[in-house]
Amino acid sequence: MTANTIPAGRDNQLRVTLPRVIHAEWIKLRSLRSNVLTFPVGAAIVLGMGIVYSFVFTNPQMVPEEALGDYDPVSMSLSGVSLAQLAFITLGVLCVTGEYSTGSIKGTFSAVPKRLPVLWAKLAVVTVTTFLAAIVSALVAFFVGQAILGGAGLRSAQIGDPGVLRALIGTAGYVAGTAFVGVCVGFLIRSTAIATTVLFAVFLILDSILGLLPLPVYSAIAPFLPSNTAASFTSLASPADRLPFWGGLAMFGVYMVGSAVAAAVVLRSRDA
Amino acid sequence: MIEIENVSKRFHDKLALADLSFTIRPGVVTGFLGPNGAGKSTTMRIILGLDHPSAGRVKVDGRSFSNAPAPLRKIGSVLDATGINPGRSAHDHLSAIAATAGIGNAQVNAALEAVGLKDVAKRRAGTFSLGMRQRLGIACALIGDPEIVILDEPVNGLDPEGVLWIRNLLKNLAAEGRTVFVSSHLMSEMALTAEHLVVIAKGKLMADTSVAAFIQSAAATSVRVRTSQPLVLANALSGGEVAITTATDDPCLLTVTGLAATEIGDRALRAKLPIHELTPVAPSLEEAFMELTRDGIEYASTLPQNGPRS
Repeated sequence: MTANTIPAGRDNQLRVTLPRVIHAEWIKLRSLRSNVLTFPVGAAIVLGMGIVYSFVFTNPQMVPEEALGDYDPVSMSLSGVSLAQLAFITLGVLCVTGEYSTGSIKGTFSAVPKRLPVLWAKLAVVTVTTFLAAIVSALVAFFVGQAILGGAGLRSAQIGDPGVLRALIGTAGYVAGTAFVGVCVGFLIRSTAIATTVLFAVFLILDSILGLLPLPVYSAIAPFLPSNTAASFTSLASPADRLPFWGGLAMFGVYMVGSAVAAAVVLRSRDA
Repeated sequence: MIEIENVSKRFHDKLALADLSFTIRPGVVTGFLGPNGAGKSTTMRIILGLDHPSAGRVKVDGRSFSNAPAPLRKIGSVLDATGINPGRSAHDHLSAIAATAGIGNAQVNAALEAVGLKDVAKRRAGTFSLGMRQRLGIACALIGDPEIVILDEPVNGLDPEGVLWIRNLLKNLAAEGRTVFVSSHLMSEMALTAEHLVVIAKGKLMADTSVAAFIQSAAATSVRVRTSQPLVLANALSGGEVAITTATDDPCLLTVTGLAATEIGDRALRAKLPIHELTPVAPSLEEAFMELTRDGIEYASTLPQNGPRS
C-alpha cells in the first residue's frame, strides 16, 4: 500500500478520452498496408467502372438508341460504387475482426476497458475516411463519365443541376454507411469470413433471392432492403418502385443505428 | 492492490474458477502458479475486465478496473505476447496503445529503446521472434508508468539473458512500490523472482503464502540416512507417523519422513548404530508445487513419475 516512489499526479494526464481513442484507431488504420490499399483500389473501381459503363452506353452497337430512354446520367457514371462498396465493407469488418484474429483486442480493451469508446472511434475513423475516399472518387467519376456521355452527344448532367450534388453526396454517404455497418457486424460476428459473407449476401444478393418470392410480397419488401434504400438518395430522382428520398435515407439510417446499438450491447455484455 | 472476492467463472458447463478469493499486494512480486488449465489466464482476464465473472467481483484499488479513468496508468499488462497484428510495426503497435492515454512519440521511442527494440522499431511484428514480442509486450505494459503490472508467462520464449532481464525488471518494479502479478508454470523461475505465491488448481485456491512458507507447508521435509545396518535402524526409527523407504539401488540409504534429523541421530546413538550420512532434504519449489496440485491437475500424464515416490 506504500506506492510512495511512484510519481503521483499523472492520472489526469493519462486519462482516456474519445479523441485519444480516435487517434489510436487512426494510427491502427493507417499502419496496415491492406487497409491503406483499400482506398486506391476502391477509387479505381469507382472510376474504372464508371468509365467503362459510360463508354458502353455511348456505343450504339451495344445500346440501341431506342433503348436509351429516360436514363440517369449520374447513376451511369457511378456504376462502380456497388462493387467498390464491398472493398469498404471489408475494410470496416477487418478493422474489428483483425483485432480478434490476431489477439490484439486484449491489448486494445486493456487500454480502454470501457470498450464502447473503441466502437465509436472505429466507426468514426472508418466512416469519415471512407466518405472522403468515396466523395472524391465519385466526383472524378462523375466529371469523366459526363464528359464521355456528353462527348458522344448523349444527355449528360452538370454538377450544378438540381439533385446532382445531392446524389453524389448521397452515394458517398451510402458507401461510408456500409463501411459503418461493416464495423458493427465485425463486433457482432468477430469472424472475418462469416462477417464479410453475411454482409456481401445482404448488400449484393438478398434482393435477387427475395425476387423469387411472389411479386406482391417482393414489391412490399424490396424498397426496405438495405441495398435498395440507396436508390432513393443516390440517384437524381428516386425510382418509382423505391422509397422517396427522405424515406430511403431514414430507412438506411435505421439500419446504421440499429447495427451500432446491437454492436454496443454485445460489446458490453460479452467476454472480450 | 487487487482484491479478488469469491470469483467464479463458468464457461458453458465447465467451471473454470470456483469461488476464488485472494489479495495481491503492492511492493512484492506475487507469483501466480497452477498447472495448465488451472484458470490463471481466466483470473487475469477477469481482473482486466476482459471476461465478466459469473459470480463475485474484483476490485482494483477499491473499484472495478473498467471504471479506471486512466487505465494504462493503473494496470500495465501482457496477457498474450503474440497478440500483435503481424502486419503492423512495433512502433505503430505501441503508438496506437499509447495514443489512448495521449502518450506521444518521444515516450514511445524511449520505451522501445528501454526494451531493446529500437533498431527493429519500424519492422513488421510478423517478423519478430517470440522473445522480441515479449519485449514489445513489456514496452506496452510499462508505457503508462502503471501502479500495477500483470504479466502472463513473461519469460516464455526468452533467452537466458532475457529471462534475467525480466527477473530484475520485476523485482525493480516491486521495489518501486508497484503491485506485480506474474503467472508462470516454471516453479524454479518463480522461486527466484517471487516473494509471494498464489497457487490455484482446477480453479480453486491451493495456497496464498510466501515462497518460503509454501515450500515448508506443501511437502513434508524428509531426511536421507545412510547406515551399514539399515534394517536395524529402520526398526529403531519406526512407529507413529514415521515413514521409511529404501532406495532400490542402494539398500543402505533410507529416506525418513516424520522425524527430525536430530531425533534420528539421537535414536541411532542410543541403539549404537553407525550413521554415515544424515541429510535433511527440503523439497524444491517444483516438488512442493507438484505435491500441492497433484489432485487438481487438469491434463495429467498417465506415465509414471521418475524417481522413487512412495
